[in-house]
Amino acid sequence: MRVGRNPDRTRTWKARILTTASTVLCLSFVPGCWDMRELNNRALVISSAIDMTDDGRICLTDQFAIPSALGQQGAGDPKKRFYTLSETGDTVQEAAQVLQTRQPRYIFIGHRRNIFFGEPTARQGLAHLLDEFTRNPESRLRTDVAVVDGRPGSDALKVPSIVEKLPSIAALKSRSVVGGGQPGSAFVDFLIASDNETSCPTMPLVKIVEQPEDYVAGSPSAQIAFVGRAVFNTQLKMVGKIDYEETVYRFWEMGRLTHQTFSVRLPGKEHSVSVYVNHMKSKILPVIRGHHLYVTVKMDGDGSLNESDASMDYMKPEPVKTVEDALDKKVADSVQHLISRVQQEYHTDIFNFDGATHNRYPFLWPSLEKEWKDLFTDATITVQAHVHIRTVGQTGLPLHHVTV
Amino acid sequence: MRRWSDKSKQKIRHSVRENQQYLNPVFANLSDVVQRKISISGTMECLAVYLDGLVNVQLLDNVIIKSLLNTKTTGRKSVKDRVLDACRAAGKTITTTDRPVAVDAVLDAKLVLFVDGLNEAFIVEMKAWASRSIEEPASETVIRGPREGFVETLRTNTSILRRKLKSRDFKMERIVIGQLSKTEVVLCYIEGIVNPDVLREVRERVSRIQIDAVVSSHYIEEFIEDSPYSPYPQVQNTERPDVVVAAVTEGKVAILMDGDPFALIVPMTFWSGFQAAEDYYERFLYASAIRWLRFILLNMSIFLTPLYVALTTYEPQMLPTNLILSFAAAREPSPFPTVVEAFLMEFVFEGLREAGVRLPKAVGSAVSIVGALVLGQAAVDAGLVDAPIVIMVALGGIASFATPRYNFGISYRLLRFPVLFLAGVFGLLGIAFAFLAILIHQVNLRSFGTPYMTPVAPIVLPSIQDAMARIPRWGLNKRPILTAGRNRTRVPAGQKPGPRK
Repeated sequence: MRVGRNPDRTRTWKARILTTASTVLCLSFVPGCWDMRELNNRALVISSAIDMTDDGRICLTDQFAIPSALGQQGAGDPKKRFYTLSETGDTVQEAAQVLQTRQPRYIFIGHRRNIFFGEPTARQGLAHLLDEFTRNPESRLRTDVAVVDGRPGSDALKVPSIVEKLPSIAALKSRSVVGGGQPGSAFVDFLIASDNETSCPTMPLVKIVEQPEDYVAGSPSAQIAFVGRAVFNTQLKMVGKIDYEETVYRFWEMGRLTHQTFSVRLPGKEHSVSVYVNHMKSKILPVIRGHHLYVTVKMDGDGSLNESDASMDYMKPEPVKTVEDALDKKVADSVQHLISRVQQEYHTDIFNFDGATHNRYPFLWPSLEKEWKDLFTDATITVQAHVHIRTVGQTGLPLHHVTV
Repeated sequence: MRRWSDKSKQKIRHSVRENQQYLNPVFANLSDVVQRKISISGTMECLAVYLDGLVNVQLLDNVIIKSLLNTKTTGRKSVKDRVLDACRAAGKTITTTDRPVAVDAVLDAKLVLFVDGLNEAFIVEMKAWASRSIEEPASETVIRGPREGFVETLRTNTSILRRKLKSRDFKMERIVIGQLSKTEVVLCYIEGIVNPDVLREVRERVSRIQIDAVVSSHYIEEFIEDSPYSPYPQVQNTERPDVVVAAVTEGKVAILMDGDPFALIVPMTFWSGFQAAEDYYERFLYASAIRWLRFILLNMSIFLTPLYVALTTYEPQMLPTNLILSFAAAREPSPFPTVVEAFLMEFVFEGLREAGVRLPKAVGSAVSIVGALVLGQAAVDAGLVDAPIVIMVALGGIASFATPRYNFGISYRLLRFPVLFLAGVFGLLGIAFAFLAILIHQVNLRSFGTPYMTPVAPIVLPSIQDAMARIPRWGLNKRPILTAGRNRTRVPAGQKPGPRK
C-alpha cells in the first residue's frame, strides 16, 4: 500500500482502533480485581508467633513494623519501631481475622520473615498448625521458622534489636552469620524434610538470652540467640534438642556447612588450639548386611591454625600432626556421640542416612523404608574425620615464646 | 501564468526597454529584485536583473562589466559572443529566449543579463550569499572525531560529503520539491552498494511529495515514513557529515535538503537509535559497554516509574524486606495514591524539561534550580509526594536523555504515560501487556522495506553482532545484509593487527 487514500480502508482502520480501545477500557472494569493497595494502607507483618492456649485454641501474635519510625534517620528507640498484637482463634486465619478488627490497615504477610513456635506448642505437635502457612498464597515459603526454647513464641517477638531496624531481621542475619551460609532454617526446608516418611525435620532453636554484663544504653539487653536445633519426629512433634555444637557437627555431616572454627584441647597437655576449617566435605556410605545397617561417615576439611597457646613450632610437621590428630579425634567422637544419642533418645533420622541409603539401594529401598526407624536406631555408625591443616600463619613458635 | 499563455509575448525582445516594461509588473513589490541598467562605452545598453544579496555583485562589476569594457566594440566577434565570453568568465552561463525562464532564473538567485539588440537573455550562475560557518553540531557532540557539521546551504553540505567520498559511484541525485519554495533536495548514495529497491522507493516517495514549501527536513520525513502514526521515528536524522558517510557506505540513502542542516538517513533501524557517532571513535570494548548502558537506560526511562508503582501498590512481596520498609517509611505521609503521585511528578518533570528547552539559557538554569531544588525538595519535605517517586521520575527522565538520538528518546518518553496508566490500573500485568504491545508494534514496523528491529528480529546472523556490540573495524567485514545491495564486503578479512604483521 503506497498512500492511505482509500477511504474505506481508513474508516475500517479507525474503527478497529476505536473498538480495541473501548474493549480494553471496558474489560478493565470487568475482572474487578483492582487489588491495588497503597503501602501506607498495609500493615507489614514482619514476624508471627504461634502458641497453643491452655484451652486448645491457637494464639496468633503478629509483629508489625511502624514505618514512620523506620524513616531516614532510623535511629529512634528500638522498642518503638514495632508493635505486636495477639488474638486467639480455632484456626490461624480466624485469629488473624479477629486481629484485623483491631488493625486499621490491611494485614500484609508477604514480608513475614520469621515464624516462631513456643516450645510447649512444638512439643504438642505442629501438624495442625502449618497448613495456613503453606496453603495461603500470600504467606511465603522462604520465611524462617524457629522454636523458642522453653518459652511461648510470642516472647521472641517482644525482643527489640539494638542495631537492626527490626528484631526479626536481626534474627535472620545472625542465623546466617553463625551458621556459615544458609543451613536450612527456612520453612521450605522444614517442609521438604517433613514430607519424607523416613527423615525427620528439625527447626532452629532460639533462646532469649539476657546477659547482665552487657551494656546497652537505656534498655535491658536481651537478644535472640541461636542455641541449636529442635528435633521433630515424623508426626511433627518436637522430641528433643541438640545444642549449638552438635548442630555444627550435624551440618558438617550433612555437607551443608562451609566453614567453622573448632577449638580442641591437645592430649596430655594443658593446651588448646583453634582451627578454622573450610572446604568442609562429608560422605555418607551406608551398607546393608542382613537386616543391619552399617554407616560410615567420612568428613574432610582444610584447616588453618588460627590460635594456639602451646609453645610448639608449627613449622615442623610433628606438632601439626598432633593438632590434626587431636582435632580428628574430637570431631569423630563428637559426631559419633551425637548420632548415637539421637539414635537412642529420639529414634529420628535427622542425618540424611535415609537419602544416602536410598541412593545406594534404589531397588531395596521400598522394603527398607517401612522399617527405617528400627534400622536407623540399631545402625552401627563409624565416623572418620580428617582435617588437613594447610596453613599455620607466619610464625612457627608463638611470637611471645617463653622458654620454659 | 495566464499572462504568459500567449506564445509571442513570452519571447524576449531585442529592446532592453521593452523587456524592462515586461519585467516591471512581474517584479512589482519584489523589493529584493535589482534591475541595474548598465551602459558600456555608450554603445552597449545592458540590463542586469538579480536578487539582492544572493548574487556576487563584485563578480558582476569586476569581471563581466570590466571585460565588456575592455573588449573592442569593433571586431570579428559578434556582440553575443563577447557578452557570452564575459559572462562565462564569471560563472556557468546559459542563454534563453523565454521570458518566464528568465524570471525563474532571477528567483533562483541567478544573474540575468539582457543586452540591447539581442533577443536572448544570459543567465549566469554566480550565487553568493551569507551562510553560517561550519560549526560543530550542537545536537551530536563528540569528544573525539570530526567536528564539522552541516549548514543550511546545500552546496556546502554536498561539498563536505564529496571531500570525504571521492568516488564517482557516490551519487547525488537532485529533486526539486515545493511549488513555492522550489527546494533543492539531494539523494546521496553509493551506486553498487545501495540496495536498488530501497533507492527506487526513496526516489519515488520523495518525488511524489506535493507541498507549497519545505522548511525543514522533517517536512520530508513526514511524507516518506512508513507508519506515520507510530511513536517511533523511522527516518534517522543527523547533522554530522561523518554519520552520513558511514550510512551511505552501509548502503543507506541520505536525503539532504537546502535550508536545513539535518540530513535524513533511510532505512532506519531500532538499533541505530542507540548508536552515536562517538561509538566508532572510541575503543570498541568501551563503546559496546556504553551501548548496553544506553539500552538499559532506555528501558528504564519507560518502565522504571511504572514498575515502582506496580511493585509497591500491587506486589510489595516482590521487593526485599528492607527496601519495602524504606519505601513504606517514605510513603507514610503521602496524601495521594502512588500512581497519582507518579503522574503528577512526570507532568512536572516534562514541564520543567519543556521550560528548560524553550527558555534562553540564562533563564533556563534558573528554572532548573527552582524546579529541582525548590519543587522536588520542598514537595518531599512538605509530605506532598514521597521521595522514592521523585527519585524514580528523575532517574527515568535522565535515562531518556541518555539516548543519543533525541527524537528516539522522546518517543520513548511519551510511551511511559500509557505504561504508567496501565501499571496503575493492572499492576505488573499491565506492564507486561504494555511491554508486549510495544514489542509487537516494534517488530511490525518497517522503514523502507527493512524490518525495524533488524538484525535482532528477524535475526540476521552476521549483522547481529554490530547491534549487540560495537565490533572493531577489522572485524566488521560485511555490510548489513538487509540494507546493502550486491556489494557486501566492506573490510577484507584478516586485517586484525598484531605484532607479527
